[in-house]
Amino acid sequence: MARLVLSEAHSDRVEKILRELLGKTGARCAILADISGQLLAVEGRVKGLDTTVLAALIAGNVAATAEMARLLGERKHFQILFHQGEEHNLHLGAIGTSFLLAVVFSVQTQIGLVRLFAMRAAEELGKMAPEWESLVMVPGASTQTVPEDFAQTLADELDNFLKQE
Amino acid sequence: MLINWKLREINLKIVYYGPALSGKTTNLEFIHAHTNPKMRGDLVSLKTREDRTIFFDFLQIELGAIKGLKPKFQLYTVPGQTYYLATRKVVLQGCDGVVFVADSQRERLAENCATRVNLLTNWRDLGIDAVRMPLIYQFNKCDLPNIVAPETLRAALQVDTTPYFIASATQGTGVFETLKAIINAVAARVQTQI
Repeated sequence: MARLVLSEAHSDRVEKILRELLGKTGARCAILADISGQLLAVEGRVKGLDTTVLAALIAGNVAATAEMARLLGERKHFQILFHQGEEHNLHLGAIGTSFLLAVVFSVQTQIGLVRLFAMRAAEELGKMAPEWESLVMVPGASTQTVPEDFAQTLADELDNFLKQE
Repeated sequence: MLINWKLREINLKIVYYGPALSGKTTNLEFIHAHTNPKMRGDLVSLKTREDRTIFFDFLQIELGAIKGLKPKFQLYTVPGQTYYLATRKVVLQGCDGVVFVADSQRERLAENCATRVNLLTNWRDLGIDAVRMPLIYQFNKCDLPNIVAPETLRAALQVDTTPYFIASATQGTGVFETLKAIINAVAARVQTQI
């Protein structure tokens, strides 16, 4: 089971980095996801935007282009992907081999500015990443635990959740 | 698995795996159509013009807070067609549980077996421990006339103690039962790990 745990302190630090990125670039929003498509954090203007689905699609996008890189004989997957739209652009950057940083920004925003500060944010996030991955590897290392009988309570309530209409 | 303590959320990834046209997407379509819209997101399907899954389908369901922790289940399908083999491995990354959707039709038996071998190979390549990964089998298309007996499928797929469900995803039979079983299996594993 691939495991990631974000403590409140981790989330606060990640969100601060993302907010700074948005402040410096004027981008609409920034999303941190992992390569399996899990959404770790999001900051910015996301009203009406399904960031969960976006994270899943971003991960799929990066995975597909990694295969392209391999076919081209690249030793690593592409570090940056860029999608240009009529109103919005999307900058995707790899953070090591496990995480992705996506920045959604208006076409009026300077691409170079987004690329520079996204790269810096990715470096900072990359330094933190081992903490999220290692926390659960050591039993008892996390100060917070899943409530007792979580699985049993979930099982009891599943019938209500999944009632056929 | 991703636990976000600030949001008190636990995100779990469940992958519907199986041969081409076995009904993986149909399972998700049924779940999407028959659950409370407040508890689920949109069903996103990356399909070809022929309506075949090219990358994956995606559906998130949220079950409300359980003991103060909100579980979110992200359901994915893999493309069944063999020329999308590389994609299957990508979708399996970071999965917390797998539903193997087998096609009960007689002529699909060999394809079911080949896909099961492919699943085990992908798990091995990804460093996933096949023994510990929650896995539920679904023997789909039980409403069709030319099907093999569940015992035959069990033997062919080497399903011994692994739970299985007989289903007709187009009619909804067995779909929720399968989903409940995999959610419970994944939740039980979470409980022992964190």
